[in-house]
Amino acid sequence: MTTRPSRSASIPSPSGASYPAVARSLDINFSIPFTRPGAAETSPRARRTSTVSRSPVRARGPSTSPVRSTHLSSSFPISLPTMNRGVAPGQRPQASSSTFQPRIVRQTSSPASHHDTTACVPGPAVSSSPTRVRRPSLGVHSAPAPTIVRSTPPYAPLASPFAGPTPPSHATTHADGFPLPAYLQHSILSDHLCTDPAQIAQGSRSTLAAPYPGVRAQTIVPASYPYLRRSPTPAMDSDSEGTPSPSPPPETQAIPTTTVLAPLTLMLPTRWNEQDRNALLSLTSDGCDLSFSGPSCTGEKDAAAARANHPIPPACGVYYFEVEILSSGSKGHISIGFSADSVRLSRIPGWEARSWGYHADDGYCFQGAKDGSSYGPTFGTGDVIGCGIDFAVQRAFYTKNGIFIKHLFDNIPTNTPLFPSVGMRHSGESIRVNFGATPFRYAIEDYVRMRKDKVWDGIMRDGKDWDPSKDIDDESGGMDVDEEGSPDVKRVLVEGVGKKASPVVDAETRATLHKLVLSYLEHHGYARTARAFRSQVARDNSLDPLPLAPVKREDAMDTDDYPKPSTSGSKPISISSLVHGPTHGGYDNASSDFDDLDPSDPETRDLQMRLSILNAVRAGDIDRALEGLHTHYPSAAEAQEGLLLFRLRCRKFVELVLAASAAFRRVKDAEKDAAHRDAGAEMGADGAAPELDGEGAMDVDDPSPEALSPSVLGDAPTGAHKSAVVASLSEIAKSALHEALAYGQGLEADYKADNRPTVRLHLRRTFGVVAYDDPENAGGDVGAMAGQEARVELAGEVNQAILESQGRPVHPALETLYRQTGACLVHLGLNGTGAAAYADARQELLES
Amino acid sequence: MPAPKILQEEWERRLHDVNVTKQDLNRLVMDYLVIEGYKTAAEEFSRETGMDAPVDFESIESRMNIREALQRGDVGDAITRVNDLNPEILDTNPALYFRLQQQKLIEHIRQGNTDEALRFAQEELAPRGEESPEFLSELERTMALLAYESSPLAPPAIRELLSPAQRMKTAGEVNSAILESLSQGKEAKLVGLLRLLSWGESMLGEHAAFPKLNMSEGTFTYPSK
Repeated sequence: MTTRPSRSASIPSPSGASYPAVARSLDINFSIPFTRPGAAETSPRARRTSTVSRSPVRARGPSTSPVRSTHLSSSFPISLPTMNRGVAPGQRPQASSSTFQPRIVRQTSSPASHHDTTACVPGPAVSSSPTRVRRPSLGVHSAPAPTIVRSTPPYAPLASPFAGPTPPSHATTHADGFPLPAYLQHSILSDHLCTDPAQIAQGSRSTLAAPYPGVRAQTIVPASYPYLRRSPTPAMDSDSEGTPSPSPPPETQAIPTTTVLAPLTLMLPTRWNEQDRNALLSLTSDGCDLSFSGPSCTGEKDAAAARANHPIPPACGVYYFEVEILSSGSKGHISIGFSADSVRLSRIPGWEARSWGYHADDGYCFQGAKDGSSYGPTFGTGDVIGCGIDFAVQRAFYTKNGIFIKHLFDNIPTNTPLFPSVGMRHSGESIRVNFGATPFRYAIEDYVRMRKDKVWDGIMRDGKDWDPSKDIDDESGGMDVDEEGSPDVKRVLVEGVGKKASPVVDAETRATLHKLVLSYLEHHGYARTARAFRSQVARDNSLDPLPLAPVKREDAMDTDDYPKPSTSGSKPISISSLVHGPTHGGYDNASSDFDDLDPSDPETRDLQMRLSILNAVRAGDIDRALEGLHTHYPSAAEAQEGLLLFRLRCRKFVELVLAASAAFRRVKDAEKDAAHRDAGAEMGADGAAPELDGEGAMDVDDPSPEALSPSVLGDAPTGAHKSAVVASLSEIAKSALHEALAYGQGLEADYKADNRPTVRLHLRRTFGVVAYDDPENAGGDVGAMAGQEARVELAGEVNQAILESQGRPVHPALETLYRQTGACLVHLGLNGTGAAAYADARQELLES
Repeated sequence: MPAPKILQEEWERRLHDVNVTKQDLNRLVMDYLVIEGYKTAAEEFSRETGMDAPVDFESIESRMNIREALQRGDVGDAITRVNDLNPEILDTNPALYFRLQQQKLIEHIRQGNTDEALRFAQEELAPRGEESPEFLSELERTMALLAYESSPLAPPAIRELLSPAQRMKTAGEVNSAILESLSQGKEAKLVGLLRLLSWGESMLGEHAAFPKLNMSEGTFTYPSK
């Protein structure tokens, strides 16, 4: 990380605590000229009762029912946070045209917005969620979830009449969906931003495709995501060594209505809204080109405007789109900007309150007023005008043909849904928009990167993001670098003159870090690392200055970096070992011998024991693991209402099956061997094992030179001997199989009466393994069931169970810390704190 | 308007949704061990996790030795070692060099070598105090230690110079400077994570009441009902 400028910043104050109220009244009072039969329903009272009748099905009808009058709860069509599960960060599922069903998707995803604040049901089951019926309206403060309304983003109540599906009348085109533009991919909320309805559909499907953990989750713990309690969803825990969790469990039925969680897919604008446009503007079928057709507006006040199909989520941090002037006609009265959807479509963006625009004919900008101010160059046919909103500073900017002009406008609200918008006034005027489907003319990624660095540096330095008044208000100078297209220049300059001192890590932070790291190491059983770390910390401690005088002694006490020794045995971390480290052995170089871990320390002993059990599970030695569990952690063996034991026993069965299948493979190999050598003579004569499918014997392709070499042949056992070897191997294999089957029968008998769906499903899958020749390499569900990853996952669960039985945290504090950070940032982003979108923990901390 | 409260269930689901794996966390821990100079632990961790270390372990060791010299109070040894590593580090960083000299002065005072402390201050530090007001004020603060000697009446701002934390602070600055000269991150990413969390929690605190994390324990404090 390079040195970065100091910033004495104040946090942009969250604006508009009273906004929803204001906005709501505006919403009520403004009548929108475009057809809006449901306008009366926007009164708060009507909102509470009308959900069902205003189901989007209406929009499907032949009428021109307005898209914007159908939904209640959210400004953004909401779907669920499943779409990127299992996708590595940065990669996004590509929309495949074969699965592209945007109209259907809209219809299924938009009902979710009815109850997006009540249901956190992942997956397509949304529309069948019972919560929808029970909680028809956002406006109801029902007893079970009194905070529902408040915990939604502030703009949510506003949005009810706005967000909605485009009617499913037209053929869909590519413009409805495209990959997320690059500049948004490092928003912390990028997983939630969506430019392609098809992604939602795909995500939903993938959720369905992963029923297994989910089923377990449903039956074991009724609550939805008990992160802090025992988690039945192993995928979420870092104990599983693997990749990001595949998908949240589809806990559809289990979700209590009190769960408030919400909207996690934020649709971005992808095209002009078929409905939300003035009839004088004609729209091409791809939704991108708008042309003014019909008689020119002559009056001073008249114009024709259009808005995009989705509002801009402030969670983007920065949102940017470009408009190409296809033709400026005779007068070039074109305005490019954005507006709330309460703004009349007969007005050009910028003239009305809650609209902002940059005008082609005079280069003026307008912020909700008829009088504009001089801003930038004029523009006309062939020019590409970019319009960006930077929600972190609540300002906008424009670019012309890839050149940054400057920032403008203030206090752009983050709690009012704003739509990209254009307006025109004369025939012959036409434009084409690019919402990110194709590369932008302006290097918006650079802008975003610069912003992000500023925010990050500010947080790292002062605990604040930057001060907009100092940083960006200077319109002439502040952003000049953008014109040169090299924001880095500015950073370097500022760094050169800026104060360089890095923030000092205080003693308290250091102690916290020691503790976090040590408990993490112990949690996961990194015993030798933990020991080395502990002894080095202890050695550092022993280097403390000698107390020379009473004063200094006091100093030493005051500033003691380390927690005091604790006598409490239940503490998760051995603090005493931190403090008293030197007394037993102190620092020494690493020994490769595990046994030299000091067994007199109960913590170490416990760690060793836990570790040996986990290692046994990972090695497939379930018997040893079970024995250790029963002996040392009897209550852990009963964890998960006995399901842990059940799963261990199932695993034991799988191990037996694996052993048997390995034995059979040895038989096959031996047969193959024999077949090679006796080629032509007694081929297959000793083909013993009836379980074999004969494949082994047939598999004689590609005889190896080794097998044919006379010297090897000479050393080889005789044919009869070979038959005997095969026969005995075959016996071993058969007996292994019998043992496995016998164990399986016992298992089935023991759990016959257990009707928990989890148990039934797991048993079925467990027995399914028998059907495969080589289950570990069978791939798919069977492979996942039999392979090493399943062992590791099970070991993680055993680990958690042991820790929990000791009253220790189920998750390492470090993991919780990371999650807490991520959760805060996501919440901030969803609340419209633009700066949060830049605080990219994953990129800065994990990937750099 | 009272801050809206985020329900525990909702929060837990948010936690659940955060995308982080054991490998991610292992990398953070490795980064911490390397940056902070826990060489043996880093080696063991590399072995136990099968992770490659981001740097060679010898470079950790040299930083570790320097840090330990400072923690022992042997500033001279630390300076020699830094210069052995790369003379430019101190040449190009007068503030750091001043910090080390200041630490040396502190150690003299701690040892009770008043005469030596005075001589050192006059010969080595006073000229630097003229270079910058910040240096001067730090020098004055340090010299005040002599005035108070072992009096318990010394103000905390002055007493703290004798604390282990002061040595750690100096060691931390030297460590950062060396890391920077090696083009490595100069601070453990875990520190960044703590900062980010404290920023995030305080920002979100302006919008909503939500479960706050007790960082070192991994436990939560829930908003009052």
